[in-house]
Amino acid sequence: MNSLIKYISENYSNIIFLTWEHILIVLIALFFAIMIGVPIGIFITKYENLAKKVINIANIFMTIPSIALFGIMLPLLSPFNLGLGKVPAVIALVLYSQLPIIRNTYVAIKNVNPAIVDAAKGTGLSRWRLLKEIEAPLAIPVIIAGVRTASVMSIGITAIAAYIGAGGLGVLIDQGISRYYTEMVVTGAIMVSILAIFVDGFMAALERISTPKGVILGRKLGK
Amino acid sequence: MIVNFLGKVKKFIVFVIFVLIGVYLEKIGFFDYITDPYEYPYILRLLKQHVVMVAVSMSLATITGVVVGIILTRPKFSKFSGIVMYIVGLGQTIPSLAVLALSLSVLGIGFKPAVFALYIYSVLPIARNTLAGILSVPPEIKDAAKGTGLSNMRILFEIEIPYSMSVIITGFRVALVINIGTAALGYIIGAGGLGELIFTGISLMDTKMLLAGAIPATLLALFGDFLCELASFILVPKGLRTSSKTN
Amino acid sequence: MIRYENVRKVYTGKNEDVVALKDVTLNIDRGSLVVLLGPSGCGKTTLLRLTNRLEKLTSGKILVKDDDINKFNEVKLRQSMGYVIQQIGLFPNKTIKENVGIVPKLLGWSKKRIDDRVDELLDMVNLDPATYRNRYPVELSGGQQQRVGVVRALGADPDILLMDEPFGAIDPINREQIQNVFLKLQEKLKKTIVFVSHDIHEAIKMGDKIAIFREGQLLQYDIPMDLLTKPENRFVSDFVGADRALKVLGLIRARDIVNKDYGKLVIQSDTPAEEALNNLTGNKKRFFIVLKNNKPIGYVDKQVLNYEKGRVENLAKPFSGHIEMMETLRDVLSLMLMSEGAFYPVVNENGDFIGTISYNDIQDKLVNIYKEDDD
Repeated sequence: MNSLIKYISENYSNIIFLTWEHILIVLIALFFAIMIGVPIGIFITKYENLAKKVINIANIFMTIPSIALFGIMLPLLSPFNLGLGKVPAVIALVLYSQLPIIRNTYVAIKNVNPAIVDAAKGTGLSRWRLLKEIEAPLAIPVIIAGVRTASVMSIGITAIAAYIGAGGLGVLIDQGISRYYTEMVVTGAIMVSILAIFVDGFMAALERISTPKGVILGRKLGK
Repeated sequence: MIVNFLGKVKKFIVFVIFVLIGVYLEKIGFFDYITDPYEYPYILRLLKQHVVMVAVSMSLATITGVVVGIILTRPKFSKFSGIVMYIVGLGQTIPSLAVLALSLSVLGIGFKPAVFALYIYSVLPIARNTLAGILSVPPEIKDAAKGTGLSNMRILFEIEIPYSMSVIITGFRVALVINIGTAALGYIIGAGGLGELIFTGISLMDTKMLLAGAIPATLLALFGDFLCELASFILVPKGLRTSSKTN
Repeated sequence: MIRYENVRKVYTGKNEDVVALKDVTLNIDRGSLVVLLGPSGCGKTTLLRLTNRLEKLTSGKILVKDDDINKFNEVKLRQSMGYVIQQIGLFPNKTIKENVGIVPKLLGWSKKRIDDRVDELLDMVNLDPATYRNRYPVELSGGQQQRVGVVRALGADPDILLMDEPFGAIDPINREQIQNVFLKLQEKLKKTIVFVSHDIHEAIKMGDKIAIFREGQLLQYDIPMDLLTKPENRFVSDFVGADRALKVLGLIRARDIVNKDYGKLVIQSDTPAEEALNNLTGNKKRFFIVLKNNKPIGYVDKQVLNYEKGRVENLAKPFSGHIEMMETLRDVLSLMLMSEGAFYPVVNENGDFIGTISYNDIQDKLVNIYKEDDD
């Protein structure tokens, strides 16, 4: 325990840097993942026949072990000098995040009761108003739940990406193991766990905040 | 008619991709590598290690996970279910690599620590899904069963478990896929497995070695996922089947 | 107010076209509640949805206040009409106040005006504004939600209301209540209402006129009484029900058949018994109705007058029941079937005697209605 604290206090700045690097990779990947996934999710609600296929493809990506995906991308991207480092990491993260994001977006929109949409249109809400005042508030919490899953997953995968040179907290684990430096390994493991738990809690809070009061009450009343 | 044509085009494209992949693999000497009599026993050994890691940890995880899940649904223990599930949820959030690394620090290197880490990581989805599945059985059905005169044991085995089969198998499937992926990391803490080929391939920039590990690992995961779909089909009673992927 | 001219709606499909409405021409007068009635698939809901352009016309015209609805911006058109559906469709993420006030808000009313209007509307349907305005739909029962759904449609005080089986999803007890509340409201507001229903009882109860549809065609368009007494074809008479004579009883009031020819049957309460008895035998009558201050208090016959002395008011035997002039014949018959009188006195709102009713009176009236049938 003491040696652990000693290690942390001595390497404080490096740890902070790696944490920051880790977060950066995840944030960039999430940004692209959302920009791609949410529109796809919205798109397939209009074209049901594509929905099943798209979700299946996304599911296949999620099944591939992350290190294997990194491995497969290496020969594909090395001609461009992008086989190692942050770029393949981000690409893999974006691919992995598609399933939770696309699926949740799709389900979120599908689950808005069609009677409510009909009542809204018949009452005189324009398409835009309908989206803004009714569909979006109801769908957003579910989409956030999907982003939450993707975030936590991404933090874990980024840790592994250290092995292909992407940096981040996985470096502590990798180097710690090579050097037989237990404190380093444990620090890496604990830091990345704390990061994951923190992000999960943060996104859970976001989910709660974005849920309209009427919906929260509904769940409480068991409807 | 247009749909038909598009379908054929799609199939053709997939076929072409497979051919291109095959050509590429041939070019880099992949097939020679894996059929080389010096190499392939080694590759098979690693594959075996990988499968054993997964099988052992999954068996232990399934037994304990399902049992714990069931116990938590019994009235005597239901007050623990909240806190246990919270801890389980927390555990699920922790990255797999971290679990491996912590297992290493406490238990050392080798096969057993890796299996332990895999076990911990796989118990959680199974336990959680078992709990959720059994709790989702509508109370009226249990009530009707009790009223008809079934004992609690019978209700468990003939009604609650079949009813939650679909959810439990989903939990198993999630755990399996993650397990196979994490087992590939087992190499890092000295447990061998296909990860050895992958990581070594990466350090040496040896594509054929890398792929000799990555492709089987991927196929293993896909195959495992497929087997679970099959199992779901066979084990879930006909009246309760729903589509799981768009849930 | 609303004119449908040769309205035709066809849904084009992969294999075949479905003709939802064949050629419908129908006029709805201002201030009247017209029920579009028929079995499922007959096109009644389609006609309703064509009115606010939720569906597009295949051919024909729909005019509201003499203007073709296609001339208007469709969103603005819908804001000018109220729309109530069976599944209610309250917005779950908005409070009751926000739900009811949505159209006024879209139209740019001031906050105060909206708040006042919401309170006024909630009050109209017996939902205490202070309690309900900040609640969420999920906290209300089905009947309460539907009432909110109705006043949401009334939000900006539109002249026209479109209602698609609005009370269908509510249990029968609450349904009757909300129908009554709605009828009272309509009496006050006199909106022009297009009301879709598949229930003949609801149609008779609610409608000023009923339009019966079948497989996209308008079969008959009449006031309820005429629909019941003069069905135009077999389908209509089957749909209306074999017991239509009994249904008619719900439409006729006591005052419509009261027999006012009672002149010689009445005596005042202060008449002494001997005089009454003499009158009875002299006029060859069997009884007298005793009136005090013009209110019937009972009857006297030979038996009573023979054996008692004093004023008739003290000797009168009470009737088994009084009938108020606004009661429906259904209730009148119900009373008659439960007791033994040969006839009953009919009174007005003040309790004053206006005439008598007997089984014969009822039968005479009804036979005359149906006599026209045979022509």
